[in-house]
Amino acid sequence: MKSMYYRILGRGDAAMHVPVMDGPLKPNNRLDVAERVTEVPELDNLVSCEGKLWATSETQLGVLSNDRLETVHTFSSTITCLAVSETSRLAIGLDEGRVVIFDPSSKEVLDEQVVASPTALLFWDEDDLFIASGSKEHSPSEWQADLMSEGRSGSLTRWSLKDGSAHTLLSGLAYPTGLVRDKTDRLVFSEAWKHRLCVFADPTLDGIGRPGIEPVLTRLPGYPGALSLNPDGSIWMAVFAPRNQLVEFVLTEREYCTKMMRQVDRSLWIAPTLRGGRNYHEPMQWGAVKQLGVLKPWAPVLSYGLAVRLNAEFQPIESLHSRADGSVHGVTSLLETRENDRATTYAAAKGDGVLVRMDAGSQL
Amino acid sequence: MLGLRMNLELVRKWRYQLIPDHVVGEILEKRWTDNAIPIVTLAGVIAALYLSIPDFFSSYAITDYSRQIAELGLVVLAMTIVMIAGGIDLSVGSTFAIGNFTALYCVHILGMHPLPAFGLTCLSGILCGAFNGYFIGYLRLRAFLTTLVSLIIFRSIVDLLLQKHAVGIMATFPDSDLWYEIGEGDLWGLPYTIIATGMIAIFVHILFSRMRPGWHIMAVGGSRRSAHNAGVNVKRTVFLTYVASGLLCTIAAFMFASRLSSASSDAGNGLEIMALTAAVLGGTSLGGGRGSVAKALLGTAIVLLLSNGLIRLGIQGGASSLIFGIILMLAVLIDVRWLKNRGKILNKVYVSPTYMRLPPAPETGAGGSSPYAQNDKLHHVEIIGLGEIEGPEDVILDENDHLYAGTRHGDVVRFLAPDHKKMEIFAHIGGRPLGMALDADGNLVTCVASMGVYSVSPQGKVTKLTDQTNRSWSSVVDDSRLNLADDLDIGPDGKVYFSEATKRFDTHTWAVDCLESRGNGRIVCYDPATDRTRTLVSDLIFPNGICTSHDGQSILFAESWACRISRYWISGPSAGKVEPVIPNLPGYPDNINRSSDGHYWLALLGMRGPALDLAQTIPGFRKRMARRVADDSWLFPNINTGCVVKFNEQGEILDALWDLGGVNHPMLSSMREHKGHLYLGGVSNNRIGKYKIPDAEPNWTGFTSYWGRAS
Repeated sequence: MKSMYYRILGRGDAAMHVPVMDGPLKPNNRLDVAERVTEVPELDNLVSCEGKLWATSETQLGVLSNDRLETVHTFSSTITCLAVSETSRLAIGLDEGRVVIFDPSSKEVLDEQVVASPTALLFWDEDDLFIASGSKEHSPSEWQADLMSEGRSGSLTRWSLKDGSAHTLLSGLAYPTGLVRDKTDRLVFSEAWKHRLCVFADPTLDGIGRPGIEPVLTRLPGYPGALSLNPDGSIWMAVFAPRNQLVEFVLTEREYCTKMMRQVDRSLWIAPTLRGGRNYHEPMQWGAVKQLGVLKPWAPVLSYGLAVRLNAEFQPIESLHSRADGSVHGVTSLLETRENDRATTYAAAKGDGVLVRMDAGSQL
Repeated sequence: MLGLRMNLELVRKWRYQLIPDHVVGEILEKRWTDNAIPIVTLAGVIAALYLSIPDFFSSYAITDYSRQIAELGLVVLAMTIVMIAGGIDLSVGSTFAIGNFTALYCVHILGMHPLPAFGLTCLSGILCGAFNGYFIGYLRLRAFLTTLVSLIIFRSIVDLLLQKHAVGIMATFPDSDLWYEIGEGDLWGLPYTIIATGMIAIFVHILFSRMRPGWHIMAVGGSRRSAHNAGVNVKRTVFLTYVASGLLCTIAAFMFASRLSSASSDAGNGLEIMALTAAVLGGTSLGGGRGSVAKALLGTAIVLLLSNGLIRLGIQGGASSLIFGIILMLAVLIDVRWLKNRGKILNKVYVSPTYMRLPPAPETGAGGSSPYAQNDKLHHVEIIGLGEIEGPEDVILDENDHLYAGTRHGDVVRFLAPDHKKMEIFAHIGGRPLGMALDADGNLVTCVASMGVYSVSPQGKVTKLTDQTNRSWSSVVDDSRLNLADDLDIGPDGKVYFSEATKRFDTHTWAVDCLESRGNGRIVCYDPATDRTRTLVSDLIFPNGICTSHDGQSILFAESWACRISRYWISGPSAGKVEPVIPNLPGYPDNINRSSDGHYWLALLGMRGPALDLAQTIPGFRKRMARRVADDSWLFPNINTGCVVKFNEQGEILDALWDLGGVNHPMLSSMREHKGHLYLGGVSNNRIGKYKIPDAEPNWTGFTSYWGRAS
């Protein structure tokens, strides 16, 4: 009764609210002024392995050297996620629906597992791999379709490499897209379509008993993606796309939304994207009308660049932005390295296909 | 299933064609909607009483009611005047009792002639009012408390005096016929008292609507501080409202005394509640600043009919007071909620989209075979006035090669020939100058948004040509005033044909009209010979660019949100008819102008996107969006990217000029060919572009094309 009243009048739960970026999330242009290391199309998945910086670009796995991505191996479909174990084995998620274990020195695939939509991987120890699957229906490259069809079919799986068994620990998740093990050995994952970060509250991590999830950071102004643990115990969270009031509204308008998904090319949907505003056929919002040739930085747009540093209690403490008029949109991967007491943060913006680098330690 | 879907779409189309949603917002905009609730209430009360009580409206009864209305009406007017100034007068009943006693004492006991008795009665009221007014106006005491106190004081005085004189008053019968005539006589069936009250009401109406003291009272009630800042003597104004209130109450009491000669202490008892109920029911705001004589009389009629009805229905005194209390409470509730929410409701319901299905947009992809295919021809245009000019929606050149453009500051600026480096303000019109044309005498005629159509002589003298057209019959609001005159051209006979893009949105919100996509615009013709302005075609979907054809027989016009170009014949066999020229463009057309090779240039101010095209077929989606989503997040036509195309008389696209991904002219609203170059304007650009047209006639100018000679 109450919810029907809300839906008719657009109040309460049915109101179109998007949390404002405030406090530690106050907008800045730090991503835009950061050093641009290299431009690689669809650059993603930064990991550090054997002292080298690994990254992916579409189907290619490569190493960044001399500010260029040198291809090590090309896979059969787009690489969606990457994890590295202590003995330098790589776990690689592929868009076609597989996770493979890859030995970078011999360039051989050691093992593989079918996963519907691999979005994040985490080596808990040498023999245990946690796999986040975003959806049952959509591959990771179809993430917009999953969002616009209100997908709730993500899952979290534990794959034991020793005996090859795989347990599904959680299912019915709203697109989990990031996995990290924090300093106190808790498993943390981001649940993108619910704009939140959760702790997997199961001490044995075996899925037996009553596994539950505990939201630790909610009402984010964007869709949280990859998570990475920093040497000092803080966590970098990549927010790959902004929430937008119009998108939230379209999500409630099922007739329009289904017609749009059926009739309109996906790149022209009213849906968040990693990089928008490049094609004049894309939907545009009033605030994004240019005045005297200038796009306002606060304009409502469908893509944004945002990286948030969380403290050990998962509260935001600083953020890096590339606003509507910026050029580092769609940040999907972050990595902080520490050499000789100098901390450097790398951010890969898949949307704009650019790698930026900045001193991170000085900010803390 | 497909058939069902088609039918649903057809139903939706018809529903939006048949029910004009925008009328709700337009009605709410009217000030008279304030009176709607009391009028409906009055009609309801009359109907209920007519049906439930036989003979309630017999002619005798009506005369009786009108006498009561005469008296109560004056008291309600008294209350209304005080309330409009932001106060309240609870002592109206006691003042009435004082007046009643004074009149009876003078006539019955002193045996005075009614005329001096009337003067003394009025004086007693003025004194009572001055007492209230002094404390409230000059000493700034709270109106509520002060008049509550004076209610008690005046009532006690009357009670004391009546103890002494009641018997004397009752025992004597004055032998003045005039005295009885005042209360009971009539002129052609109309009681004298109602005539007197009517005249007073008319005077008070004129006072409030047309005279300085009334405006001062309105101003004080609307905002005390603003009135003070504007130089109104607030203290005196407040003082005078109470004096007027006292005076009106005692005039009413004089009528009452003459009609009933009642020395009972009941006179005027509970009158303040009735008067307050009537005033608030009529729509006079408790907060001040809002109210009128008409509202007061409406409220009076409702209250009187109700109270008489309750008596006739045999309801006990206590119960009827209870009913009045409840009615007052309801009226106050409605008053407060209405005042608070009217603007909000209006805001929410104003944007009222309708159904529109556009055909699939033509391809524009670079390198394709489409005539619209993107290119970078405008990438290296020469830039004029960068940073100096803001928003040259249209540009035009005269025979001396000076370049003119309107700006968002309301100026027409001129860039001097030959290099267009020096800019000067040619004329200041105000408003927002948009489309321009040169007439046969070399005057610059321009459409000015929110003002009308203006002419600027070569010396820079500004003359208004027209700012209104004939009012359309079907419109709720008066649409005769030109709201957003957009582009114009001049026919061979000197008539000015111009488009009014939308009647419902202004210079800052014009693109919201796209969310409605209703026919809110029209094509209008101004004839300088007769100085008359007539609407030629109405219900157009954002008519924008206008251009007289090369043969002078027709005008071409663009409808932006409908993405089409049409032709309106101004002479020849099909004069007055509209026919399509380009039915389906890939973007939103803006200005049209002639080209030197006998064709036409057309600016597309923005490009279509499939998400918005789909939303145009679902009006409910856009309506809910306008209500629930903040306006800066509304889905909008993409007016950041546009292009220039050339088309011929048959509507075939011959050429397209783009500045793709560029910073100079990705956005365009106008272009003008002059001596081998194309000059480019944009409604939100800070520059004018100059593009060298390959193979153009190097000496062709617009002026010679129109008027065949140099000026």
